[in-house]
Amino acid sequence: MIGKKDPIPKFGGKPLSAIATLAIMVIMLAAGTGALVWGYLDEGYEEVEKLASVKCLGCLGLDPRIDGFSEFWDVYPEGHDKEGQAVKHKPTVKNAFKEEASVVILFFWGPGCVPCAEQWEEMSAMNISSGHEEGGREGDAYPELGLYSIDATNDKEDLYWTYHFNGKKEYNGIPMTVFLFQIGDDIWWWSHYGKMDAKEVAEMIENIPEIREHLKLSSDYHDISHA
Amino acid sequence: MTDDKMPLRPYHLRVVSQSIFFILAILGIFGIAMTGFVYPFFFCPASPAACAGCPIWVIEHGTLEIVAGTNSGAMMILYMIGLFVVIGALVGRSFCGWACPMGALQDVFSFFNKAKRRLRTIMILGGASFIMLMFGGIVPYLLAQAEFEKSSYLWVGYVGALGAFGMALFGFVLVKRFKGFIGPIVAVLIGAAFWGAHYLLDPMFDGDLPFKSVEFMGLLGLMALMVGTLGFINKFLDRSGKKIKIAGPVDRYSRLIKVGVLISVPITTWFFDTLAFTDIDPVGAITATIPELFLDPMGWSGNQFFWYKAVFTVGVLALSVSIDRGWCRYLCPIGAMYGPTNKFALTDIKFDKASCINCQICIRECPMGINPKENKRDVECIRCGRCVDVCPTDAQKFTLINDDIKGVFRR
Repeated sequence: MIGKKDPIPKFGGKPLSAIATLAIMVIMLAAGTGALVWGYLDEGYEEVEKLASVKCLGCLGLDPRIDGFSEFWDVYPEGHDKEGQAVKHKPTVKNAFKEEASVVILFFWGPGCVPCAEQWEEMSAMNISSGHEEGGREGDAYPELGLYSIDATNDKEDLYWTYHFNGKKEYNGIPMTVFLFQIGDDIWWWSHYGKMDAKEVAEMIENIPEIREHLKLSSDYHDISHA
Repeated sequence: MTDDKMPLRPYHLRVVSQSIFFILAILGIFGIAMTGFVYPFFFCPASPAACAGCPIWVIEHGTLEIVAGTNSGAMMILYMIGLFVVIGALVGRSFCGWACPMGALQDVFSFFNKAKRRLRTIMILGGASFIMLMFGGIVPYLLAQAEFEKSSYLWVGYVGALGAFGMALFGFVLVKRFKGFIGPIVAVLIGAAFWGAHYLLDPMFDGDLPFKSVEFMGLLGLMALMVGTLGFINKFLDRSGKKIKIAGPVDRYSRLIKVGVLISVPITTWFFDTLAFTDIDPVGAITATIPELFLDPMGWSGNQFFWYKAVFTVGVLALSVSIDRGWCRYLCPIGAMYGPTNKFALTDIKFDKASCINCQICIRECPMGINPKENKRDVECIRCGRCVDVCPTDAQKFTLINDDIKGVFRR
């Protein structure tokens, strides 16, 4: 008679498929645990935490509806968590002014952020900025400008929250553009949250000398600085 | 099978489990800062309630970093895949049925799917109107008008909202009043006309008008388009009077779409050099965009991906209302990741052929539309336990260790 053979292949009296299932399950458990622990220990956890710390506005499908420019601030502005308190300026900004820049822009971006990349491209097209977003600097259009492109997910100096417009956690989005200038030792700043037109950026750079003169002459400023 | 034999049905346990995982997922609203953990299911890290990263988002960011040549991207993906493989080896695709908030949402939708026809019609149209209003930004617009612009223009927002509802109602009447597909066709044509007119008129009034009446025109068009499209679905449903059943090769091959979606995630990320899937992702819209709009309606306006996201979201919701677990079956890339692990997972649902009375209830009730009797450890099984729940003879049972593995150790 033909076909007397056992139809199920066996190994040591057990069905081969069952042994294979067990083996693959065990390998999956071991390899999975290994990968999980390795990835966790070697930057995996930190990287997720870092990237998730800044909300990608492009991913939400939303742009923040924020008021346009109204004034520059020398302390934390109205509505900020530290309203009225002095800003502890960071070395990047202080050094920028030492390098004889009279207007400083901090541009905050993040990996995979589409609005950030668009704003960067637009600014680069107008020669306001140059180079890649990562480590990008100012372009040739404005000689008095110092521009620093900062990855908000890898912001070691905590520049993002130092110059954030209201300091609130729910507004942890990018892009953000901060304009700074100096009168004497005082640093004045204004920060724009969300994508900004390159034209607006250029306008702001061009208007800053006038704003600075206006602030210099205003009695308020003299009262503060000579008090 | 009596209740005293098993007082806690899998159904109850599952609702408890889904609730617990949902609360864990939204720990962010209780002030827990963002952690470096990865959700073992679909949830957007851009959500105001989020406290961890999304696996798909990890793949995208990892791809970007690998392309940029850093070590951390690969490590991040390794870490996430490790988590999924461990969960898969232990419980297979159970997290789709027992943990995923998106899955829970679809369970809620399947209730409407089973409801009577009239109720279902109202649910579909009402839900779509609500989402369009939310997305169309009527509510945000009303508030933003009062806040940022002169409050005398507030009436424009009300008129717009009323108009959108009126348009939805008009479309609804069109769909219901006429036999066949005439109603939906007219509604879609009207919608297209309004939407097209809005596109043509928009540049002409660029910035000249004190309010964005042209945008409202577009919104009215979208309402009519949406109602018309849903009208088609509704007419289709009305013909059979039952829930949509997709079976055979169409169903089988459509299920492969989710594998395609998963594979396309790193490819599109690399190709467009951005988080391409996230930009149009409907789960992101449901878990992040809509909550953001609720929490701070006047803080936001749509960006360039907004309408794509809106269309995909309404599409996915309509799919889920029409077909049980439509998103899980055909589109979810995370389901595609978990699927193959079912074959080797430790836990299982055991089918005892001897006590089966061939009543077919489990086949009829399965939310994933598979045959729980035939497909041993099917990649599509989400281990929800519906078959265990409904089986009158307890032929379907959860087992902690699957029979194959038990067999190896049995003497």
